[in-house]
Amino acid sequence: MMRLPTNREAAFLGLLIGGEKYGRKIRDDFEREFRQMMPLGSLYTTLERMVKKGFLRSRLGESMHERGGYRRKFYKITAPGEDALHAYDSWKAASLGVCSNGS
Amino acid sequence: MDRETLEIAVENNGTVDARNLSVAADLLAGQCESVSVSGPTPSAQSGSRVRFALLPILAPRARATYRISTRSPDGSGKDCHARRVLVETTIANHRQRIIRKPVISGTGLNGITIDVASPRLVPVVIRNDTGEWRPDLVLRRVEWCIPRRYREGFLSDLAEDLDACQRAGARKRKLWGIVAAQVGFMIFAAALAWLRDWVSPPSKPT
Repeated sequence: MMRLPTNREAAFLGLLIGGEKYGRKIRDDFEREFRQMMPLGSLYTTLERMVKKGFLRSRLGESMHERGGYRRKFYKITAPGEDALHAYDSWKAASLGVCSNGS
Repeated sequence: MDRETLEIAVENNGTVDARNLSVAADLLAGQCESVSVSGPTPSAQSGSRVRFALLPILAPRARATYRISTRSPDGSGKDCHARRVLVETTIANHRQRIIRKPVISGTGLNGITIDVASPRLVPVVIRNDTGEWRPDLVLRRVEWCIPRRYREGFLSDLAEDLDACQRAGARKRKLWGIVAAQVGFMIFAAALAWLRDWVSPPSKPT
């Protein structure tokens, strides 16, 4: 059985559907989209957890002097990640349907 | 910038005089060289080592300040603060040779305090003469506490955040606050993630 992503993981998967992004860009998009603060520590622990689960793939970019010589870390959604997102969407739609039918 | 001044402040934090204080700095050969030197006593240079003559007495609460103006010999424009510099100090009236401490000069922020009553070393400040805020050097100080698997990405993003705040006119204190908050939160989040993985390990989707 496929393990569903958490709400936050699903949000990140949704943001990464458009293509590969690096941490800060994901954070900025998330904050703009959901009007919610996202500290970098929280962002990276979630992203790394998603990599462990196989939802995302990561790679390091180029080193730049302006960033203290550190390299950006880019994340890309994988096929299991897309499947998980679709499963999450279906589950969400079904549960909303149950709620609206029940009321 | 290819020239900077290392300031080594030695403070007697104790209750009795420190006698015959010696200070020497090793600038790593080939990476950093001294241009001019000043301090309360004369200095001599042999190779990459700058040694100051003994200071007979450093009274309690007094501070002796030594300055070494440095530059990188390759003309690369990289600062000596980004390199390791070893500062060694000794004083005569200690039963043991206590003071030989490598100073993290990557950030240019450590120095030495001598406590004569109870010998121990406490960091004081070696600062660069420009007083400039250097996010890259600050981040080098905190990188050890970021998990290796996302260290690069995290610090790269934090460096960009700091750069943006600096350009927006944020003061040093605020920038330090951002570093402290982000790193503190990262440690908290990493601890929570570890706890979560411990309770229910993540499994790959089937």
